[in-house]
Amino acid sequence: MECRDTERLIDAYLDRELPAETASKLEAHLSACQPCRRQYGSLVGFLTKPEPIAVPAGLAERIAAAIESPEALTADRDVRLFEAGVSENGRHARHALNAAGLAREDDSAKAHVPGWHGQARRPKAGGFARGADRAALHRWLPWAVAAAACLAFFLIGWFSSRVSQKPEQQIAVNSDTSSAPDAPEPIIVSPLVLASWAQAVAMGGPAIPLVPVVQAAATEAAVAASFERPLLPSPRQPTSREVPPPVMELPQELLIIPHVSRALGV
Amino acid sequence: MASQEPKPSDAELVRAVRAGDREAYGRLADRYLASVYAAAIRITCNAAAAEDVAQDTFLRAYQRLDLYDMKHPFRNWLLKIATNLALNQLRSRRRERLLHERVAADEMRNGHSPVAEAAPPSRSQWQQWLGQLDESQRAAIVLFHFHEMPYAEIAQVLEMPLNTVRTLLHRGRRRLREIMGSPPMLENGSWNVAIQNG
Repeated sequence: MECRDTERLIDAYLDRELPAETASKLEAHLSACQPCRRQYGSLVGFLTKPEPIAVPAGLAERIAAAIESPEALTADRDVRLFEAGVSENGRHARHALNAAGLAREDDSAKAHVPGWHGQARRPKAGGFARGADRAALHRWLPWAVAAAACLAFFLIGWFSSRVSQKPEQQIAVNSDTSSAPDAPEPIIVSPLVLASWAQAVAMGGPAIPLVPVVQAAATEAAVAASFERPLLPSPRQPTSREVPPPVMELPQELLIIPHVSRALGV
Repeated sequence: MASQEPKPSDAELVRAVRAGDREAYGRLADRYLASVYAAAIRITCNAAAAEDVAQDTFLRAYQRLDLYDMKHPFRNWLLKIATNLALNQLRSRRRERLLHERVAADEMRNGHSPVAEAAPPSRSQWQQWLGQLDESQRAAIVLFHFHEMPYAEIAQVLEMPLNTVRTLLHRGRRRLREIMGSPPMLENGSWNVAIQNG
């Protein structure tokens, strides 16, 4: 084998694509030829006989602990990256770990990490790592937002039902006035429709199907209650000869629950 | 004479973990921790980052063990996870470094002396060599040469066509040869001219 063969074959050799016999010839040439060794020796040595890498002491235990308690991993990582000059997030994380009794410098904490087969370290009561707080926040935030939205839309529905009972908007359900030609036409809009519409616009559609259903039941119940209550007295009290005000019936076509009941055959 | 128990295969251990045996996962981790850590430190060229990658790799593998296809070697599955995490780590470190440099430049402009940084850990020669390669070249070289992963699996890990992997390997080796034949580089990235001159 000659030097120009080395140049031609070196890539195939490193790709492990040379036949064994050719590979041995190439290796023999590399060990015998000083110019080729100078040119390719370092690369071939580096790629074919890599320097062994030792696993850091305690890494296996830290992995075991991370599997036992993944929340503590974030803070522990921040501290180590900070110590290595890689990340700036570690200052706060170190305080959090100290507070949680999980600081790596604390040998007594290490003593509670016997390895894979034992009990991994756990945060002490009263303190917890920053990562755990963040994880808990992420877990509960969507539920909190959903509950707040539900409450807000219920309040909107309740408020709009209260507005419909204001005296100036009240329908004077009096036989005399209702028959008058200038009596205001009763306009009844279910608050459910308004609230559901607002919710759909604000959230791009109902996030949880249960929310509008519960909301519908609540708002419609509120409207129904307002109709069952005796309306506020009209400015002119009816005399004993006048017919008592009739109870108004809810306009069923505006409500959703009757439609749902019909669809379900209830 | 005490009879020696046969070593359980990876597949047996994986089945045991899926059945709820956490100790079996410990044995798997003991078996492959060295490989995973070596791949991580060679790709990230940073010991602290490599520890994170190794931790995350085993945690993620444990949490997603149901997704592991037992037709493939468990070691290669772990190395895939580790490589992806290491590449992500490099990208986020690059972003953080850029941000840090921008803040330091602003402080200098405003007349403040920049906060003294901790000295970076000393790097061995192989870290300096690999550290000068592109991330993808480095990952391809590490997986192919140091972990004997076949081209097809490297292509899957890096989400690249097989021929691109071959090209990465060839270019990476050529670059390594150039680097190895050049004077050593200082930590700040400048060439050590003083040594070269004399």
